[in-house]
Amino acid sequence: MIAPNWLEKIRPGAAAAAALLMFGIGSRAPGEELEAPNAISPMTSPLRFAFAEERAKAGAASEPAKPAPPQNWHIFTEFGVSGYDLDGALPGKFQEYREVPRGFFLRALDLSYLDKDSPYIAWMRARDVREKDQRIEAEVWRVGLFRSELSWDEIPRFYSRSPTLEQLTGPGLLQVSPAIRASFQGAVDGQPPQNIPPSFFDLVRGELAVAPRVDLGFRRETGAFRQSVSPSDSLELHVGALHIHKSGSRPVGTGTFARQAIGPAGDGVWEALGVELPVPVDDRTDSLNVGTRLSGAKWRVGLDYDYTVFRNATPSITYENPFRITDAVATTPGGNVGRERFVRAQLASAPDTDFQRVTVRAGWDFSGDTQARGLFSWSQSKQNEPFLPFTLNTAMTSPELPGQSLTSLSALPARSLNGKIVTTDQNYAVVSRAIQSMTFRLEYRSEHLDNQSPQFVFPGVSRFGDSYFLTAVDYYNVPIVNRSTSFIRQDGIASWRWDVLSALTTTLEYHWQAWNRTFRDAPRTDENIGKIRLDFTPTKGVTVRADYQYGDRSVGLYRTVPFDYVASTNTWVVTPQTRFDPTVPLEFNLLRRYDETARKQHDGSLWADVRMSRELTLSASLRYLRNDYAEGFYGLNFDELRSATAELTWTPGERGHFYANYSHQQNRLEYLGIGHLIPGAVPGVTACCAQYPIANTWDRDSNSHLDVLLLGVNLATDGERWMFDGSYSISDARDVIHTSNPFPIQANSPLTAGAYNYPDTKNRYQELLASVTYRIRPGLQVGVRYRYEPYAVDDFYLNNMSAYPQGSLTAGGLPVNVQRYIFLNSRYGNYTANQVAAFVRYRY
Amino acid sequence: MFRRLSDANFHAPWPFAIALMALSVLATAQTPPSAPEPTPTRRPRTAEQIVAGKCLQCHRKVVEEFVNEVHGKSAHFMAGGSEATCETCHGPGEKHNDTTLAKDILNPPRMAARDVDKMCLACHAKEHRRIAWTASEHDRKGMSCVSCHSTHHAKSPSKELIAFSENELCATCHTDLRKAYYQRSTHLFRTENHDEKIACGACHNPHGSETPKMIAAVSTNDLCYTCHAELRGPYLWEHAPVRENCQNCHIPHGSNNPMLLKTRLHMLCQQCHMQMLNRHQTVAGFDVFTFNQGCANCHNQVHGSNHPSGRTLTH
Repeated sequence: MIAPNWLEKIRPGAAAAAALLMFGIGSRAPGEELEAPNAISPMTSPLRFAFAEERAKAGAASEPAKPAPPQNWHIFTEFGVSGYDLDGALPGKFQEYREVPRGFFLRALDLSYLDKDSPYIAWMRARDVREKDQRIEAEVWRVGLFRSELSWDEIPRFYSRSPTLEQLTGPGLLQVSPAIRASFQGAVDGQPPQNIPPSFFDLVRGELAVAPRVDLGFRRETGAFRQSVSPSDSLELHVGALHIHKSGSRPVGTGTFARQAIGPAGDGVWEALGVELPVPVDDRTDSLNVGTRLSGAKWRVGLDYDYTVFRNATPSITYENPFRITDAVATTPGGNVGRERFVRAQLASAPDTDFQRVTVRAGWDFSGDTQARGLFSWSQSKQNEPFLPFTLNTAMTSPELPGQSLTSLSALPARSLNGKIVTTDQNYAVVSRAIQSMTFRLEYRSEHLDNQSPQFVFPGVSRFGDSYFLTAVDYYNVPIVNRSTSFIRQDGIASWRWDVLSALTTTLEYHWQAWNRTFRDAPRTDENIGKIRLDFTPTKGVTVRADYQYGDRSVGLYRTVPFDYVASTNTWVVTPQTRFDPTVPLEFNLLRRYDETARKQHDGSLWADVRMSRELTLSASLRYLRNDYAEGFYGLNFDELRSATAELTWTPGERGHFYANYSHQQNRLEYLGIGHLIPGAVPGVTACCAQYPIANTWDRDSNSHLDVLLLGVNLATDGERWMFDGSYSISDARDVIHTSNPFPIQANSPLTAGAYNYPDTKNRYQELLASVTYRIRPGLQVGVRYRYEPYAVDDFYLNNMSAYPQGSLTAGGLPVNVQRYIFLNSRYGNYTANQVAAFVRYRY
Repeated sequence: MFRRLSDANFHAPWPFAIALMALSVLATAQTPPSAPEPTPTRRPRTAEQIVAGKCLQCHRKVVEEFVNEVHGKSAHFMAGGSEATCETCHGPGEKHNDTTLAKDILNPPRMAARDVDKMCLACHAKEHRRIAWTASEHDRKGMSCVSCHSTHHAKSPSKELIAFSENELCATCHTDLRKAYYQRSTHLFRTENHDEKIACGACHNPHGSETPKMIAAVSTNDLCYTCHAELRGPYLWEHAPVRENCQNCHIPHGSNNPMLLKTRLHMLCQQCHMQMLNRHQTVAGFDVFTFNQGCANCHNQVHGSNHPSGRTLTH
């Protein structure tokens, strides 16, 4: 196992304080260097517990009585100084979710109250005090009467420090200097990408070079409180509160794509347009829980009420297009040219919601070691955030709304959603051990999510960078309606466990799962799953477990929108005779969505634990999971997981402990392209598809490997005056994506249909930790620790990124057009960190 | 209220205490009446004596810890069947007192799992986090309360765990989860000193629950919404697989991909939206948006959009 960190040894709670009470400073006989066995000392390494057990066994019967002086308050603290050196152009990942201190740090501050003659227990534990990842916990309880728990936790989230032209000038308002916008538009207004002058690129780079920098990141602060009171043995009342506040900023991409000037081959010239925004984050979640438990000798009932409000201080983000000073719209046909030419646009942030839940739990113990229990929970989530207008682009009009401004709220079919989701969860189980050595379980579970939000018919939607108003005409005259998707998921489980022998247990289980869905392609799926498991202890110290599960999911009806196949062009087209099902998403017909299509699942695992001796333990596990989806269909064909883990722990004596853990995981998946659907398609023979609406696609597969190795050692000198803790971890991942197009490429799509193998994605993380501690006297330690942490990432998504990667992004050796897209370059790059800390630990 | 394995096993220190007091009275009564004797000073009983009685003679160290532990305090300060004395868990001690043999006293780690559970749940069954223990995943694997907890040898006092932390305890058996700490994206945040920010117990109820994988909520999504309430909705434009199960796209412990995604973002989206592939392709078949945030460069409201123009999860 991972060598427990020095602070994982630090547990200032009751047992630690008890140890201190017994063996606190001043109570130890002269010359006795060691702390008492069985004590949960905050300064010990794990090997001490092997040692402690030895002492306990040796001394349990003969330990002389020792009067301990009263010491009810105990303190533990660790503080020191720390520094680190960090190399790398984009080392943000080093502090992605933590703060590594520079300078003075207060690593731990623990206070506890323990009085053997008092029914009260109280403790407080603080970690990383005044750092961005600090945590404080406190408890006070009176045994048998009440318990109060309080916690405060902070987690930072750091992205990057990035230049941006978008400045936050007001609540939810990001603006770009009018002069910049005017100069950009003046250089490139309306030009197709191939006609944009190179001087424009220098203009943009120049502005970004002097643009202000923003720290992208936010912090999550969580405060929690819980109070329970037990007025009697059978009654417990509790109330709890949770407060979460997120504040800061995060990168959000906005943009569109365009095809400029369809070339002679028909592939055209493509371009990505947009701007990545530093979106402000400021939201709060406040939850209240009130409940009670009532119990008797053979029964128990619980009732809980939960109320949660989510409040977003920035319900919308209004931002300016760096490339525009005047509004314009895309040109016809279909808005292909001249997209992303608005001046201002808006994002709708997460809406305020109000949520309530009532939960009832009950259990009853019958004779014959049989128990029945159930849960019923009803909840409701509502939101009624005012809608934003279709667009802020003043140049946009629609023939569907003559004389009406699309920037006005009056153009909308409604002013808000007034949405509501009601969810009912139920679980009922009967378990019985009436027959010796057997356990029976019958269980029924259901989750019914009923989205009762109203549906509206929209005259259209603004798309392509708020430069074109699409209507139903653009969608084959299918109305544009928001769909309130709902579902019912049901599970029925029957299992039988039989302790065949003292060393052998077998379990058989049958599981049925059904989904009923609205507004999805498969209204109903049923899955039958069978599982067998064996637990075997062939000899003392050896345990082996094996299980296998087979699942078969079938689809009653997979509804599609049947486009018409035209053999002469080898493509699918929409004709006036095509009939669309308005309750099915307007996506391509024949693609099978993996989460609702037919599936066969194999899931098996093997686990073994061998205690070779008192000092040496080995455990290993294997797992194989494969899902095969609707065979021969277009879409995800299969996905597969293989993993293996082995762990070794060795405690050769009282002052040494070693461990090693190795994990390997492989994920594979494969998609089939659309060409396989062509009637009579023959690889290498049958060409596929026009470009639009149904275009040629590739076969793809991904093969991802992960290897993780963990090593650790804990050593101590005689009497534990000196202690050494060390660990090394390395995680290495590689994702290989392969694509191919088995069918000939038509003359009008050589560029878009020719398959391309993505570069491998690699991610490697290492961590070397070492600490040396010296005990000056009982209760006082000093030490030094060192961290070496190199990180390397090679990701084609990010390798060539910058704030303005025009000319840097390539694919297959050819440039990707992003002349009119400005990014935040918010990414992590390679880094190497060296950290050193000197510390003092004091305990009283 | 029933609190013992069986009534026959019930023993309280009171009979012994009464007998001791009676003997004390008798001893006092033997004093010759002729001469005035000083009144003997009765020493108050210590917490150890109250809690452990005869056990204290041989197990002083254990008892001296026990009196500061919650069960020991219950033995000291509670009554009416709620107290957890030595004999509550170890059974009647008379024979063991006579023979001092280990076999003449119950040792929970060596007892059958079912017997241990009965013993602990006699008091703890009323807590809602234990209500689904019987035939739960861990119970079916032959585990018992003392597989994870220890009254006398806890390493993590706040929950009396046998490991230094929750995650360390869980990883003892779930060794394959250790790698999650070191993957490209993880939910198991830790400080530089390996202090856990998200413990296994934040999401799972190891005592069993009504939800698969022992999720500590009525559903997976309900659990996620505890911290990610901004995704609860409803939204004007819903994304159905998001509403059904967050795990359709995310791996909760750790992933080789950013944002805990199951695979690269564009490949994940294309598992359901593959027909859109070509419309976003650029020269040489390389998707225009296989850089930076991938599909989310434009479709930034992937969990749902409340904007009237957000039909395709933009805006």
